Amino acid sequence: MVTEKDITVFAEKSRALLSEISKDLIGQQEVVEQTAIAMIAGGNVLLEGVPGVGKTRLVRSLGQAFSLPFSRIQFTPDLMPADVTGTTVIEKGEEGQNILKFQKGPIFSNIILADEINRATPKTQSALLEAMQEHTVTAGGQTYNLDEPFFVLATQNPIEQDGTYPLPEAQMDRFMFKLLMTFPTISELTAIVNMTQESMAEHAQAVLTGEELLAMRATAKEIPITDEVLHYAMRLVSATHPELADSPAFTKQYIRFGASPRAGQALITAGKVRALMQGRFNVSYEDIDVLALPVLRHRIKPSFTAITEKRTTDQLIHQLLVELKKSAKK
Amino acid sequence: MDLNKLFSRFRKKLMGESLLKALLAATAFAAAAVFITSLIYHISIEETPLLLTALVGGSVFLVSFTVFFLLRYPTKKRIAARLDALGLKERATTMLAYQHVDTEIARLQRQDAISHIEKTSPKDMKLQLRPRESILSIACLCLAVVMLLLPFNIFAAPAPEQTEDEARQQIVRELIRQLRDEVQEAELDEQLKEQLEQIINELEQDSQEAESDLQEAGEIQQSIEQLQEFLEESLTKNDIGEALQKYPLTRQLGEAISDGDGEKVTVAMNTLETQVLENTALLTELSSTVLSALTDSGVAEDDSLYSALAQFANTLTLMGTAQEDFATHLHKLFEDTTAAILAALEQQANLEQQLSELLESLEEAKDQLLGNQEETQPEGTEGENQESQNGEGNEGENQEGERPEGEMPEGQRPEGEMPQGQMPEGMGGENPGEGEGSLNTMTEGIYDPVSGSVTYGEVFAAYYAEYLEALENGTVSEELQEIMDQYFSALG
Repeated sequence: MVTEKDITVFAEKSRALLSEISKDLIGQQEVVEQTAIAMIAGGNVLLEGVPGVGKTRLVRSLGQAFSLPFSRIQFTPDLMPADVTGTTVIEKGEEGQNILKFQKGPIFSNIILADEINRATPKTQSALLEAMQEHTVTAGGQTYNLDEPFFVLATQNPIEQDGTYPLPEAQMDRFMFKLLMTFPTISELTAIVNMTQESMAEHAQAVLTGEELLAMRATAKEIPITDEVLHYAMRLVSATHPELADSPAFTKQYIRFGASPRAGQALITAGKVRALMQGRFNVSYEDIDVLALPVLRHRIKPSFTAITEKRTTDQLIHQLLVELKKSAKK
Repeated sequence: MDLNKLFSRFRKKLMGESLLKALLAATAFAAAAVFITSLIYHISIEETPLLLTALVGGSVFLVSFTVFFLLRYPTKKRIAARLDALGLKERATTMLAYQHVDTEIARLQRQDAISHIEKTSPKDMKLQLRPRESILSIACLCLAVVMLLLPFNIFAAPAPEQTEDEARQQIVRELIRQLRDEVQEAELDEQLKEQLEQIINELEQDSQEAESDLQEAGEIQQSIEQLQEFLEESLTKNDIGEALQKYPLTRQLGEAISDGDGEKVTVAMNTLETQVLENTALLTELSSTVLSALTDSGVAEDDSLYSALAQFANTLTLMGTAQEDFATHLHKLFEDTTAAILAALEQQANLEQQLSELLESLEEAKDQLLGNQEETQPEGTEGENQESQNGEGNEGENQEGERPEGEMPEGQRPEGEMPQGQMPEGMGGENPGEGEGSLNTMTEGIYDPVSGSVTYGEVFAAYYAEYLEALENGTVSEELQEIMDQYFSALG
């Protein structure tokens, strides 16, 4: 049962979290906020941006602010799955005998930074699948539970495509959000340069423990949502599917594959967190609209027509929202 | 928390909006109903009954107004949605949905929603009226009004244009029907009626052979003249009256009979009675005078006026020869004779009136045909026709009495201006009053002494009527008949 105190704690902690991260990251407020939402909601985040915009710094800062064990895995083409999950090694026992022991890999942490995830081979990328979804790792026939809370914050560079392996759809779908980190403005850039002249280290203080984070997640799940808003979110997800008879003509023309049911779950869960962070006790249409981009942009595949007309997925999602509002007015 | 109380401020505001929307929708529906009703009547080529249309429109209005108002009644859910649209971010809707949920978070949500709703003023709610609703209502209303104002036969197929022949036949048919009705309704003797029927039948028969409006007008003119002749023959009061006036003793009575004045007749008869009573010698003189006058009048003996006076004279003669005291019978005789004369005069007046009506109908039909003829003639042709009538070289412009008298060459003067006794050769007898075909009689009644002119159609009709009469009388030779036929065909 959520109490008024829980709500107060949620508000204080979320404010403190954003405040601490803002010490280390200039600008990118929307990305910071949405990353925080994903982490409170228990989702993984894929950060995409050109080199140097602060992807890794954001994740490191979050790791510090959460006061949770943090692992960084630099994904390279020669990285093996065992390098991520861990491997079984032979060790000498107390009596000198040889024993097999599972050596836990960097995945056994609370916050994982999968840096440049698309540089690893699909085989290695797939090593994350189980961990991201079930929060477990299976090695040598034995399954190991990961500590809660568990997050994967991955980064990828959209420009350098040589020697990279695009993430498969199954992997993509396991990220709650895909956030785009844009290049900072001149004033932000100036502030970044001035800040890093003093020190490259992160200054964020630990403001949130793992338990507190789990409590916040539980609080957010209690936020009420009306059937209308829920239905609106589901219609949005459904409208991304061109194969459905009642999907808009726009979808049939410009979208090849639609979003999975995980998108609907993500919209609602994240929507509740966002509402609470905004000081509201209910999910609104606005929450769904704002979260539609990070939730859907990596889950839908544009059609050949959209590609030739140079329509981005963000443009397609915006148009879908417009179409949905039009049909709602009718 | 009582949501009704919380929403009451906004319900009042939205109630007005719902009423307005229902009014617009009902207007549109009612107008559409009126339009359809009127359209059905227009398609059926019947005049739209306004009462029924108003009833249909009113019923549809009432029903649709009620339905639309109920459909758009500001329920709590609608009020909540409108409040959320003011920036409450679904707080009101969620509160409504979770109003019966008794959890801490639901309570907090309600508190949050109520605090936001209380900060909202009903003035912030703008009237949400879609322009298309208003436009649709106005358009329906305009359509209905236009449909009501349109002539009811707008969708009827246009009537085929009548040809000249058809128009003429229609006029004649109408005339014949009218004449027959008038004769049938007239209070006349059966014998008279038969005679009139005969004239009408002749007109009907002759009309079928007419080839043009002018010829038809000629046929009608002939009937007019026949009727006028008939009228002259039937009105014996003039002949008898004139004959009586020739004698000093019966002058007063003659004048009274000629005038057809009953009072004068009574006075004259009383005067005669007094004179006879004072001087019995006058008895025989009066008798012989009346008999002589009757003989002079040339009126047939079966005429009622003639009979009354003849019986009166004969009785007087008998009284004179009887050498008796006739004073006692004299008054009775005068009284009876006065009554008989008055009855005869009344009968003649009645006949005159009935025949005048028939003549009027004939004149109207003739004018109509001549009017048709003038319409069908292109401008200037009237002058050309007149030119051919007056002879070659005479310009059509010099009609209607424009030429000063004395400048007109002989044989080219319009008929209306022709002085009596100056007829061109072959156009009538030496004395215009003698022959029936003289110009004087032909233009009688159609010559306008003020303008000094006679219209071409009137002249043609009069000429043609004379020609037809001459044909019937057998006074036109076959050779001349051919020439005359060509002449009239060319003119007609």
